[in-house]
Amino acid sequence: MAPTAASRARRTPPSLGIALGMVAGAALLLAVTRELFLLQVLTFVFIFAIYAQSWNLVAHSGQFSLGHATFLGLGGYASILLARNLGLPPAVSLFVGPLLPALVGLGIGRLCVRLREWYLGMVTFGFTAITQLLVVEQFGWLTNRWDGLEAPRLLPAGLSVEGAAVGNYLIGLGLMVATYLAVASLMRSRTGLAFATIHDNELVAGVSGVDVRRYRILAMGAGGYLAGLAGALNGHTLTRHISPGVFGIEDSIWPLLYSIAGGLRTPEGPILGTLVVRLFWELMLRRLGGFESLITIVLMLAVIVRFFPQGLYPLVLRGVAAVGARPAVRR
Amino acid sequence: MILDPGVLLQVLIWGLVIGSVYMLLATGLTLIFGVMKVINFAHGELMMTGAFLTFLLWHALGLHPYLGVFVSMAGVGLLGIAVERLGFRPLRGTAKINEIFLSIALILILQNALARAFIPYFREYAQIRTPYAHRVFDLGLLNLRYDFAILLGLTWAVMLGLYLLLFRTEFGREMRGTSQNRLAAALMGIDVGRIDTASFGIGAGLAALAGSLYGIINPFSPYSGTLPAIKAFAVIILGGLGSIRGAVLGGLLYGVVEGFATFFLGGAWRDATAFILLLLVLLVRPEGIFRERA
Amino acid sequence: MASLLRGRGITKSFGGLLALDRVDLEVGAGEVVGLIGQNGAGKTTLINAITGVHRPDAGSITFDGQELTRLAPDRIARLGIARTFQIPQPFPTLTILENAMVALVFGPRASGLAEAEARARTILESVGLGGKADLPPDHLNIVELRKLELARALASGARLLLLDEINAGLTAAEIQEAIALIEGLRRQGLAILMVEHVMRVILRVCERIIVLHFGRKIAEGTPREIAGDPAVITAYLGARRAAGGGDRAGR
Ligand SMILES: Nc1ncnc2c1ncn2[C@@H]1O[C@H](COP(=O)(O)OP(=O)(O)OP(=O)(O)O)[C@@H](O)[C@H]1O
Ligand SMILES: [Mg+2]
Repeated sequence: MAPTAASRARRTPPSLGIALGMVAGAALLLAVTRELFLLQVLTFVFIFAIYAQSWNLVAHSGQFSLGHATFLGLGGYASILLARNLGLPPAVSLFVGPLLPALVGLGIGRLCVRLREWYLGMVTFGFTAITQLLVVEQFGWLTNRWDGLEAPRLLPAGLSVEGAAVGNYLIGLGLMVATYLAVASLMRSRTGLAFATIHDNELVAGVSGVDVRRYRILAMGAGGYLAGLAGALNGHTLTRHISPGVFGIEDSIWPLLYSIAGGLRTPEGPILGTLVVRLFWELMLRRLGGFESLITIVLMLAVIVRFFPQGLYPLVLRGVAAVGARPAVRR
Repeated sequence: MILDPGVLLQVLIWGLVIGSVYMLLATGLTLIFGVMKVINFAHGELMMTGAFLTFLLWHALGLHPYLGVFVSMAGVGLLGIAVERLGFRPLRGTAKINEIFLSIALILILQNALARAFIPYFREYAQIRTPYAHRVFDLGLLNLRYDFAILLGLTWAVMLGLYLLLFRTEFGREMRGTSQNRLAAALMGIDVGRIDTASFGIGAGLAALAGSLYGIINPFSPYSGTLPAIKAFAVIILGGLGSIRGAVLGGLLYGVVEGFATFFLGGAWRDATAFILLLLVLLVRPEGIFRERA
Repeated sequence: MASLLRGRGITKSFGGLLALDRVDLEVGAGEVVGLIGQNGAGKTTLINAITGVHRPDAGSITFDGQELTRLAPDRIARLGIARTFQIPQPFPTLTILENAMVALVFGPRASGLAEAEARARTILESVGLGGKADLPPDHLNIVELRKLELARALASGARLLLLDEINAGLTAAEIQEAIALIEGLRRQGLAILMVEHVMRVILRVCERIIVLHFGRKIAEGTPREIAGDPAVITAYLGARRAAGGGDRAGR
C-alpha cells in the first residue's frame, strides 16, 4: 500500500495555514463578486463539506457508514423542532440539535460494534430507512409527516437578499473551517491514532491496548454530531425547510463520493472533494439534464477511484510542492 | 372474524408472494457474496431494471408479461455480467472501499439511467398488467388470484432450476466450491473468474424476476427497489451470508411475517418488521451469526 | 520464583479439532520460557488464548493474580502483556514509527504522543529500523517486519512478552544478536514466553521449555532435560529431523 496521506496528516501540522488559506480565498472571492447563485453554490459546498468531513472521520476509524443521512436528517429535525417548538434561537438550536444524532450515533456504534465492511454497510444502509419510518409514522404528530416543517431562519429577518446570501456564506465558511481544524487536530491526536489502528487492523489494535469498542463508538458519536450540524445548518440557511426526503439513499452516498474524490482519511480531502464535485455538477447541469449529470459525475468518480485511488488531494499537494520553491509538506 | 381461516390463508398467500420477491433478491445477493465476497448494494436497482424491461416489452411491444419476464431476466443477467467484468473484476484485490464505492455508485447510475429512460412512464407509477389481472381461482376457503398462482409457480420453477444447477451439475459444484474456499478452488484449477461472472449474472437474473413479480403486484418507480433490497440485506444477515438455504427460508419467512404484521398491526409496520428483526438479532446475538471469517 | 502468568487446564477447540487440551503453564517474573512443538501443535493458539484473541472453552489464565479469560484483548494488553504475531501484522497505513508508537500510547505505559515518538525512535534504532522510521511498513522485508513486531512488543512496556517465532529466517549473525537481545531483556526483569523453531536460540536462552503435541503438554523441563526426553524426541525432534528440520518461514 502506498504511503498514505492519512498517516502524514498526523505528523505534518499545516492545518492552520490551510485554514487561513481557505478563509483568505473565500474572502477574496467575496470581494470580487456577489453573484447570488455562486454564493449559494459555495454555501452548499461549505455545509456539505462538513457533512463529508463527518463521514470521513467515521471512515478514518475503519467504519464505512452507508446510512449517514440518518444523522444529517436527525440533526436538521432536532434543531428545527427546538427552534420552532421550544423557541430556542436557531443560533443555539443549531449546536444543541445535533446532540440527538450524536446520541443516535453512539447507539448505532454500540449496536454495530462488531460489524465491519459489508455487514456494517448493509446495516447502516438500513438505518436510514428505519429512521425515515419513525420520523414519518411514529413521530408524525411532531414532524408533520411527509409535508415536513418550515425552518426558522438563522439570520435575523429583514436582511436584503444579498445580505442574507453573504451571511449564510460566511456562517457556512466559518463552521466548515472550524470543523476542519477540529477534525484535523483530532486525527493528529491520540484518538486519531486509535482510529487509524482500528481502520488498519482491529485485532492488532486490540492486543496493542487500543479499546476498539470505545473508539469505534466514539467515532460514530462524533460523526453523528458533525453530520447533524451540517443538516441543521442546511435547514436553517439554504433549504429553510425539512422533510423526510432527507433520509434518502442519495444523501447517504454523497459524503462517500465527496470524500473518495478528495482523498479518504485526510481532513482536506472531503473539502476538496465536495468543492470539485459540486462545481463540476453545476457546470454539467448547464449542459445536461439532472439524470445525465449525475451519471456523468459518478462515472467521473469511477475514473478517479481507478486511477487516483488516493483521491485528488495528493495531486494538489504534488502540484503545490512542484510550484513551491522548497519541497513542502514532506519531511 | 379477523381469525377467519380464509382470511388468514389469504394473508399467508400474500406473504408467500411478497416473500418470493425477498427470496429471489436474497438468494442472488447471497450467491454473489458467497463467491465474490461482495455485497451488491445496487441489487434493488437491478430488480427495478428488470421490472421496467418487462413493463416496456409489454407496454411498447405488447409482449405477454409472463414471456417478457424471461427476456428481462436474460437482459438484466447480461447487465450483471457486464457489471462484474467491467466493474468489480478490475477492483478485485484493491482496497475494500473501492468495491463498496462501486457497489454504491451503481445505485446512482442505475436509478438515474432508469429515471431518464422511463420519464414518460414514471411520472405516474408504472404497473405491469397481465391479462389475468382480475381473474381468481375460487378454492372455497380462499380466492387465489391467477397472477399469484402463476408467480408462485414461476418463482419455484426458477428456484428448482437454480437448485439443479447448483447441486446437480459440475458447474454448480465448482460454484459451491468457490463459495466455500476461493483460494482452494483456484488452486484446484477452477476458473474462479468465470464463476464470479456466472454468479453475478445469475444473481442479476433472479433480481429481474423479483422486479417483474413486484411490478405485476405493485405500482413501481425507479426508486422502488431500495426498500426490498434493504429487507433482503436483513434476510441474508439473519440467514447467514453466503447461505442459499438461509436466503430461501429467510426470504419466505420474512414475507410471511411481514404479511401478518401488516395485517394485524397496520401498514405502518410493514417496513418496520425487517428492522425490528434485524435489531433484535444485533442485540441478542451480535456474534455467531455475524462473526466474519478471518 | 513467584509466578507471573499462570494457566490451568486451558482448553480450546475449533469445531471438532482440539487445539489446546487442558494445558497448564507457569511463567515466573523475569523468566524466559520456551514453547515448542510441531506445526499445528497449538503454540499460537495458546498465545491467542492468553492475549484474549480467542476465549478458551475451559480453564483459567491469571496474570499477576488477575483472571484474564473474561477480559477483552485491550484490557489484557494494558495489564502488561505484549505479543508478536507469527505472520507479521503491521498497520499498513501507519508509518513504521507510528506502528511502534501504538503500543507505547495505548499499552500499560500510556505515554503521551511526543514522549511515545521519542521512545519509539530509540527502540526502532535498537532493532535496526531507525533509518526507515518514517516510511510505511510495505518498505520492509519479512525479517524486518519481524523486527518491527518485536519493536512494538518491546515498546509497550509490558512485563510479559509472548514472542511467536520472531527468529525464523535469520542468519547466524542475526541469531547471535537475537540471543543477546533476549538475554538483555531478561536482565531487565521481563518475563518471556517464546515460541521458537530455532533450537539454538531456545537451548541458549530458555530456563525452561514446554513441549506441546497435538494440543497437549507432553513435557516440561530444562533445556537439558527436554533434549534428552525420549517422548519429546519421538514426538517432536524426531519428526522435525525426519521432515528436514531447520528454520521455516512462519505461516
Ligand atoms: N482460528 C482458527 N480456526 C480454526 N482452526 C484453527 C484456528 N487457529 C488454529 N487452528 C487450528 O488449531 C491447530 C493449532 O494451530 P496453531 O496455529 O496454534 O499451531 P502452531 O503450534 O502455532 O503451529 P505452527 O508451528 O505451524 O505455527 C491447528 O490444527 C490449526 O489449524
Ligand atoms: Mg504458530
